[in-house]
Amino acid sequence: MADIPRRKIAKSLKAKGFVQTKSGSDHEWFVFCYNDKEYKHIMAKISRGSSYKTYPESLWKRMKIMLRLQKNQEVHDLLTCPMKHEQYLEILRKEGEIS
Amino acid sequence: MPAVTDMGRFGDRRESLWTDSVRFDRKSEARAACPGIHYPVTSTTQSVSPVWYAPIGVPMTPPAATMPETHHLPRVSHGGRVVEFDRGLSLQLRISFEDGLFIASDSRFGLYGSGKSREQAFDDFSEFFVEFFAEITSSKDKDLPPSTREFKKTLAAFGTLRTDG
Repeated sequence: MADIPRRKIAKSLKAKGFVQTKSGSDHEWFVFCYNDKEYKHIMAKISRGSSYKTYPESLWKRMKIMLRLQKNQEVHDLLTCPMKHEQYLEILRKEGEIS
Repeated sequence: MPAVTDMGRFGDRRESLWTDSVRFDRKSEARAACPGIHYPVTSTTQSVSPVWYAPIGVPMTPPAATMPETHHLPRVSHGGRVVEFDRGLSLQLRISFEDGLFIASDSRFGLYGSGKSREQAFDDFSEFFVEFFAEITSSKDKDLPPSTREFKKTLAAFGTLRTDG
């Protein structure tokens, strides 16, 4: 699957309920928030710098476990936006992560 | 017939998964790069200075410097803090080279780090792991939703955060 621009990843995460909690010179941290609670174990880290303007599949697929997804295609859909916020919530409900 | 043009028989599926043919000046080099080869590495028919090819469809052995490595870590440290895996488990860390980057990742928690060298990737992973571990284990239970509280227990059963030194 194709590379994903870093900016698109950040934008997509925010659209799915993630909130940026930290921002340093090297990384941005995004934590999933739902019903005013931070689910700190459901998160994503995005690296900054010239080597990370786009994320190749080898990098974005490694977000799968932290995003609590089962398939690389789901990660791709979440990070490129075909997956809607409600669809992601439904996955997290099925996984028992949120109620 | 050059080997490069004779590899269609291995099919599209393999070709899409593995590398294209690569030119070698010596047959021994081509064979070394293709340890799993079950058929001859053939040369071109050029009369002068034959050229050897690793055929399409054969997984290539990357240079030794980029070979994947697996490590079992008893601890991970960063920025004056250390997570000791003192409950009988170690952290399995795999470092691989993909898309021009070294990537250090663990399959237990799904954390990873990357960089232009193994050391950078390991350092990036260590920072992520220690920060993540500290962030969750230092949170008060009342502030956490149920699934994060469970995850906190998992982390606590795995290791202990200490100040380095």
